[in-house]
Amino acid sequence: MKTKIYFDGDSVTYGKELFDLSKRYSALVCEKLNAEEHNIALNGGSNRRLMRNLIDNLGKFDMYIIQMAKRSRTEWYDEDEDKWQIVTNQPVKSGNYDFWKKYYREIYHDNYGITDELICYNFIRALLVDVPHLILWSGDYDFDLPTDLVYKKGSFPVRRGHPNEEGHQMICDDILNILK
Amino acid sequence: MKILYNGDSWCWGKSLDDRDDRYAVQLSKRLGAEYTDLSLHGSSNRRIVRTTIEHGLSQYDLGIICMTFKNRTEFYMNGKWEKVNPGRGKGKMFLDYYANYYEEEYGDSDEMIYRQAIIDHFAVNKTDLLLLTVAKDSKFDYDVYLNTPDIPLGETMHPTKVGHQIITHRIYETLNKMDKGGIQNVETEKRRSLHL
Repeated sequence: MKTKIYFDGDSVTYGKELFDLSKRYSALVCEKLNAEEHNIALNGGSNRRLMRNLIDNLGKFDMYIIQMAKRSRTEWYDEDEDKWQIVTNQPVKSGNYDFWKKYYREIYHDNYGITDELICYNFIRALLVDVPHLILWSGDYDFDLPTDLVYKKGSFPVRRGHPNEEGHQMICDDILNILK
Repeated sequence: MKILYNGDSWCWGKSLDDRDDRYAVQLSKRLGAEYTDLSLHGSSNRRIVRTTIEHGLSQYDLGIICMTFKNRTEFYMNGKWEKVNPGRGKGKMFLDYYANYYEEEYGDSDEMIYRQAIIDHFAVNKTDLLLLTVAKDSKFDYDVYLNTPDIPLGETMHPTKVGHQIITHRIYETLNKMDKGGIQNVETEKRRSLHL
């Protein structure tokens, strides 16, 4: 039976800006390891979403590769549409536009985001303590949590701010190097 | 033995004439244990998790953590953490939050995330945990439920001195049943066995 690998994250892990999603790093890693790819990453995904998904998917996969998202993001449950909506600091797509605009202007503080990030990091490490896993981070601000891979701005070649095919190949190679 | 407590006003001992009557103090005395109490009235589950992680567990043998109502949260504003509690005190500042953002589904998933975060944080640090809650309508399992009809409450709906005595006894009995050294949240054991 093939090894099943779970991937979650935001647009980086989703493969945004790639013309062919079979070139995203999750697919490349699985191809190399002859594993089954389960990628549930979402453009605009938040760390809260990662934690919620991880509880739901615990015990179902042989390995977990999680890319932490930008700390300022969150999500809300839209009862009218019966679904979770993403919230980024460009809330135009988030619904409740005025509320989220005010949230980022008056309520959100980076100290909140930093502690959210800390809670999420500890959550993933502790939940997966007995399970093979890797944590990645990609972003454009100072980040000092000991994730397995850190990609600051300029770490990989991009297309419109997201890793291009070469960038995804680099991430894949880094993951395979750690898994050796 | 050294115990770490965290929780909301129930743990903090709100409305008691003498906060030394709160269950954290009474139970520690009964067990002959030293203790640290990180609880604060108005706390949210987010605050309980954040402060527990920030404080660290290395010096403790046991955590007695009491989770609170799922609809509370906190934000960092004007240089300090602001407790967000709907309709009460400064919570009135956040009515927009509850009108535009909060749904039961969100509260349930928040409780699920923070409850799991606490369970796993203690498990991975090999520190025993007794997990309590003051919530009456939780969908999740806890070792001890505090907010039951037999607990006398005062005008502010917090346990009286006698209420804290009953809670102390309830926790003490639970610890005895669980054989102290072997305390570990049942749910944690069930969940972990999936992976071993």
